[in-house]
Amino acid sequence: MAESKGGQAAGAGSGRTDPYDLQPLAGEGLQMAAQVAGQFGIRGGHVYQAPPMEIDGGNPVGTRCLPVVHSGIVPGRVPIGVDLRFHHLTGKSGAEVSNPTMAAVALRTGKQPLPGISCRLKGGLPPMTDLAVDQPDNNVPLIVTDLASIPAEPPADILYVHKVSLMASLKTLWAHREIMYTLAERDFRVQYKQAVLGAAWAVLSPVATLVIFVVVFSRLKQAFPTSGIPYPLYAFVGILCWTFFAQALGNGGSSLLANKALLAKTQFPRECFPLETMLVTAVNTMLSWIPLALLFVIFGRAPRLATLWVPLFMLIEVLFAAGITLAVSSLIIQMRDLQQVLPIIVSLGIFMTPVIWPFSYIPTAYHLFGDVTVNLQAVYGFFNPLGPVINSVRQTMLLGLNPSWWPLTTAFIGSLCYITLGYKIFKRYEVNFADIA
Amino acid sequence: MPTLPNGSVQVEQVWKKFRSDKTAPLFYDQITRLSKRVTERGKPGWRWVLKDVNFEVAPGESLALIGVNGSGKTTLLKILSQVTFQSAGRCTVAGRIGALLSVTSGLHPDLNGRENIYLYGAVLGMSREDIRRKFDTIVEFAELEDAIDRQIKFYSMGMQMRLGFSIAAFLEPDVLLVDEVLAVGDANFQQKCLRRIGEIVRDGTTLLYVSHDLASVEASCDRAVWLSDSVVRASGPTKDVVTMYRTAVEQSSTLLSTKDGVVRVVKAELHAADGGQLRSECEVEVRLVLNAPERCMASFFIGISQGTAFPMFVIDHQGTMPEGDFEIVCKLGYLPLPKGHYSLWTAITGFPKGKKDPYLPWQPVISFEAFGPDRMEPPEGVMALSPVYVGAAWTVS
Repeated sequence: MAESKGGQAAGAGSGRTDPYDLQPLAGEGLQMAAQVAGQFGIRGGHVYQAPPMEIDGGNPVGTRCLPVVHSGIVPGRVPIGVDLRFHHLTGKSGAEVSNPTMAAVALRTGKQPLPGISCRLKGGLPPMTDLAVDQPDNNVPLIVTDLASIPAEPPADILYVHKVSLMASLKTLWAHREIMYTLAERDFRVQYKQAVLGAAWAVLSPVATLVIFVVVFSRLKQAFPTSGIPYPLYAFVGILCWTFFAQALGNGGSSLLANKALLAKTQFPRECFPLETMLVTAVNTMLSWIPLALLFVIFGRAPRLATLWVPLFMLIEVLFAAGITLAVSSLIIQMRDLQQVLPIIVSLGIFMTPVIWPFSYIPTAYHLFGDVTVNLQAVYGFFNPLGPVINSVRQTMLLGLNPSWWPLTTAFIGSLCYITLGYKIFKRYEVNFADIA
Repeated sequence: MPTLPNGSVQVEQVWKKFRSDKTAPLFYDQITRLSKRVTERGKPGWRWVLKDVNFEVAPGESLALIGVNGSGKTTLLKILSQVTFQSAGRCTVAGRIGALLSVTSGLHPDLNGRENIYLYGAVLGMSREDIRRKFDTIVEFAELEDAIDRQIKFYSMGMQMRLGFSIAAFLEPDVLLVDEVLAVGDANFQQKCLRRIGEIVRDGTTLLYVSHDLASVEASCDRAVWLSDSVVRASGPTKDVVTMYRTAVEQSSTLLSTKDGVVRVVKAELHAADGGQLRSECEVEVRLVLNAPERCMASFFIGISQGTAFPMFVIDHQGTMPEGDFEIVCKLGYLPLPKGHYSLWTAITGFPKGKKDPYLPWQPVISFEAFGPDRMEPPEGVMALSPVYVGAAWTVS
C-alpha cells in the first residue's frame, strides 16, 4: 500500500506511486509514533517506515516548495532532513543523518515532490504503524483557486430568487415575536428616559391635548350634525382612531431607517421593525382612552353597551394600518423622498376621512344611472377602511346603535387586501434592505 | 436536498453584486447616471463583490475568512446570516445562527446596561428566559458589575464593546459568525475573548471568523479561506493560507512603497555569515549598497517583518552617510526567526531627528526564506504577535 489516505484526501490522482517508496508499517511502535506525532501536533495521517534516506539535493534557498510531502519526526530539536510541517525539505546538501531513533512519515498532499531531491537515512528505523486507526484524518488539503476557472457571470440557473411565502414568513415572525416585544419595550423606555415625570407623560400628554381640544371646540359653533352628541366627544373619538393610524404610519414608515444599524447587522425578520413601532403606538393610543373617559364624565354620558363591538373595528384598523405601514416603510428606505412627502399626505388624509365630519355625508344610495344605485359608503369603506371604522365606533359607543354592516364588511375586505398587498410588497423588497440602508 | 447536520455550513457558487453607485436615487445623480450611460456605454452600474465562492464547514470546525479590506468577507458573513441575500448560488446554514457582525450596533445609548443586555440578547436571538439565566455570567464576563445600572451612553467605548461582546459570547448557537470584533477593549479583554471563543469552539460550535488580525486567526481557527478581489484565492489549513496571504500582502506593499527618498537602494543582500543556509539561530550578514547625493549624518534602520510594514524588530545605527555609492554591512549575531518567509525593510532618516523627509522611506528591500524549526504554537486561545525563535533547553523535574 504505497498510496496513503492523506494523499487521497488531498485530491491526488489515484494510482500515484509514492516516489519515496514508503512502506506502511505493521506491528510494534505504534503508540510511540502516535505519541511523538501528537507532540508535534500531527493528528491523523499514516505512519510509514521510511527507507534509508540521505539528503541529497537540499532545498534551493528561497524556493517555495509547498508540494513537499513528508514529515519526519525525530527526537531532538531540529529535525533531520525532513521537516515537521510538511513544507520544506531542509538541511544542507549532502548532510548525513545518523542514529535516528524514529521517523514518522505522513503523506500530506498529492502534488509532486521537488525533482532532484532524495533523502536517505542511514541506520535502521524502528517499525511504526498506522496512526489513523484511532484518530480522524483531519488533514485539510490546501486548495488554490485557479482564477481563470471563474466565469465572468454566474450561470443563469443559479440566480437567486427571493421567494415570498406569506404563510412561512408569518410563522417565522411568530417565532421571533419576543424580539418585537423587546424592541417595543426599548422604544417605550427610551421615550421617557431622562424625563423628570417619566412614564407619567404617557398619560399627561393626551390629557393636555384634550384640554386644548375642549377649550377650542366648545368655543366653536357646531359645524356638523352630530346626532345630539357634544361635538368635542364626537370629534375626539374620530381623532383617536385617526391618530393611531397617522402615528403608526409616521413612525412605522421610517422605522427601517431609524433602525439602520440593526437592519444591517442582525438577522431577525425585517417586518419586526414597522410592527414593533405599531405596537408602541398602540400602547400610547390605549393610554389616550383615559382622556376619552374623562370626556364622558365631563359631558355626563356613559359609553353604550354596543361598545363591545369596538375591538372588532380596531382589528380592521390595525390590519389596514399594518398593511400601509409595511408597504410604505419598504418604499421609504429605497426612495427617501417619500419621507418628506408622507407627512403631507397624512395631513391631507385627515380631511378625506370622516374625522371631524360625519360619515353620513357620503350617500348610501347614489344614483349612478337609471335604476342602478351604489352604496358609496361601502365603496369608500373598501378604499379607506378608516371611514366605516370611525363611523362605527361613534354609532356603537356614543349612540348605542348597531354599526352599519355594509361599509364595515367592505372595510374588512379592504383591510385584508391592504395587509396582504403591503406584506407582499415588504417581502418583495426586503432583499435589498441591508444593502441600501 | 439532503439535510445537513446542525452546525454545518455550505456555500455553493455564491455570487453577490452591489450597485456601484449608492446615491443613485437622488434626482441629480439619476441624471448624471443617465448621461454617463450614454457616454460610457456598456459599463455596468454594479460590481461583483463575491464571485463563485464555494466552501463547506463541518459541525464543530472553525474557519477563518481573511483578506484585505473590501474583499467581501463581511458580505459573505452577512449572506450566511441572512442579513442580506446572495445574487446567485446557494447558501445553507444548518441550525441556530448566532451572528456577531458588529459589537455595539444593537445597543441603545439611552438604556442602561441591564436593559441593553435584554435588548441585545433578544436581537441576537436569545430568549428572555435564556438571558435571565445567563445575566450574571454576562455581567461578570464584561466586568461591568458596578456600571450595569448606568445608561450606556455614559460608558466608555471599550465598556460598550465589552458589553456587546459578552452578550454574544453566551449565545450558544450552532454556528457562530464573528466579524472583526476583537478590536475590542484592552489587551486583557482581547485575551479573554479569544479564550472564550476557544471554549465555544471546543463545546462543538461551528465558528466562522472574520479578521485582519492574523495572529488571532491563527490562534482560533483550524482552517482559513482567503478572499481577494471578491474571489476565494485559497482555502485550507490556516497556516498555509495565512502564509500565502502574507506573501501576497507583502508583494503589494512592495508595490505601494514607491515613494522615493533621495537615497537609492542599489543592491540588497542577506545571507548566513558562514555562507550556508539561513537557519534559525545562525549568524547573519545584511549587505546594502546605496547611493546618496550628499554626505551627512544619518540614522540607518533595518527591520524584519512578516507580511506587513510593522517589523518584528528594528535595529538602528547612527553614523555619517558618505556621498555616492556606499555599502552598509550589518552583522546580526543571531537570527531569531523560526522557519518562514520574511522581508527585510530599511529606512534612512536624518540625524539628529529633524522635520525633514526621510532620506529613504521605510520600505522592503528583499524577501528571504529562513529555515529551521517551525514556529512554536502558543496555547489555545493565545495570540503570539510575532514569530520569534528562541533556542531553549528544557528540564522538567
